[in-house]
Amino acid sequence: MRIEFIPVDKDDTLMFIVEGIDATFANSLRRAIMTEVPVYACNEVVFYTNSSPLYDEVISHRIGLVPLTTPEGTDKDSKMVTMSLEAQGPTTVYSGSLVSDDPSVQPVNDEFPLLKLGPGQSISLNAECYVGYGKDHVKWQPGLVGYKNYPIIDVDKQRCNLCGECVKTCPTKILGIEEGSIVVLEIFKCTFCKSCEDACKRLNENEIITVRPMNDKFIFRIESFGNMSTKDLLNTALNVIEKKAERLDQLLNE
Amino acid sequence: MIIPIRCFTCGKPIGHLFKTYSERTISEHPKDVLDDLGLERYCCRRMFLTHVNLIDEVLDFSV
Amino acid sequence: MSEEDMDSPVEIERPVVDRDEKMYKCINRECRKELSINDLDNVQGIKCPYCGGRVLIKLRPKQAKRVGCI
Repeated sequence: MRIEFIPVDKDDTLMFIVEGIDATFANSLRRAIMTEVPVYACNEVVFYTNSSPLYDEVISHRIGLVPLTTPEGTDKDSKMVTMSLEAQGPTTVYSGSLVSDDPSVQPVNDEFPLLKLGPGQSISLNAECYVGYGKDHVKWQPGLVGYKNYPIIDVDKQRCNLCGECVKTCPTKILGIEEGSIVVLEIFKCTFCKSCEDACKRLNENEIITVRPMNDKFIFRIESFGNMSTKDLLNTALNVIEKKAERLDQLLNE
Repeated sequence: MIIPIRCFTCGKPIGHLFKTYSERTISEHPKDVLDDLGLERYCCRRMFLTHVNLIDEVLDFSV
Repeated sequence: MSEEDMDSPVEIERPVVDRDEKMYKCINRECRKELSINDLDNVQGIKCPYCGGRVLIKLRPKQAKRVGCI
């Protein structure tokens, strides 16, 4: 297995190419990151007062969806964290006013608008945050993962007349003409739309350029929601897969 | 009503971007603002484009 | 149901109501008084004892409310 990282200009995104795995493993990695990484999220809210125009249920739902930072080494048995919120109108209440009793578990961003209070309205509540998994609810999903096959773009150099039609039609603009031949500039941006193939066939009545997927090489893209860094996400998910595989091995040996 | 915390479809948190979006779209084109905010997928982009901020209208109607 | 069950009176658990708790509010613009059950006992029918307004709304109970984040 070979892994090569693709530089991305965003902090919350990680892109890499894995060679030597099959689609089954690629998908299990994707699912492990999205559903099996333990993460903190608010699970229950105790309301003391709420005279805002939003229902208790709406507010608790919104607080639940706010992503919370999750310290390293968190697992299912990690303790409950309580956050309290108290506000007097008129204001917009942001996630920054949630006061956590554990400084390592806090809203990822202080700018999430939770509710709005008019003059004379007030809110006071306690939010109880538990560790959970993405398979149970999106609020526990730490990020998004997608993968696609690595593309092979073949150009028959002898038959190509450099008409440039494929370069023009490519919607992601990954083709170019350099030194008298068609070159692929950013291959991982290919979406397998095969517009280049169609354009070539239309003009030359020949399949000079072909695009096909590689079945053992994948391009991964991990996007973190901020609960933990993308690298931590990948590490935790791989540990989960390892533990599950060990468990299966144990069961088979019994 | 009030901007949702996450995108309905993909679950990406988007609520914290609304303040910047609403301030900047007064003078700029929404496309440029959305690109700057890093919203690539059209599911997240429609959350802003189709949102109607009615929270101020209902503010007076609480018990 | 057996005969014994039929004879013994069924105990219904009723919630303890604080009759002095301000549970209702008169929505008359000039009045807006908060009323308890005891206040309402003094008048015939459902009526605000201060202004005679017939429209009362129920106020939010004092107890804390537990709501799951679904």
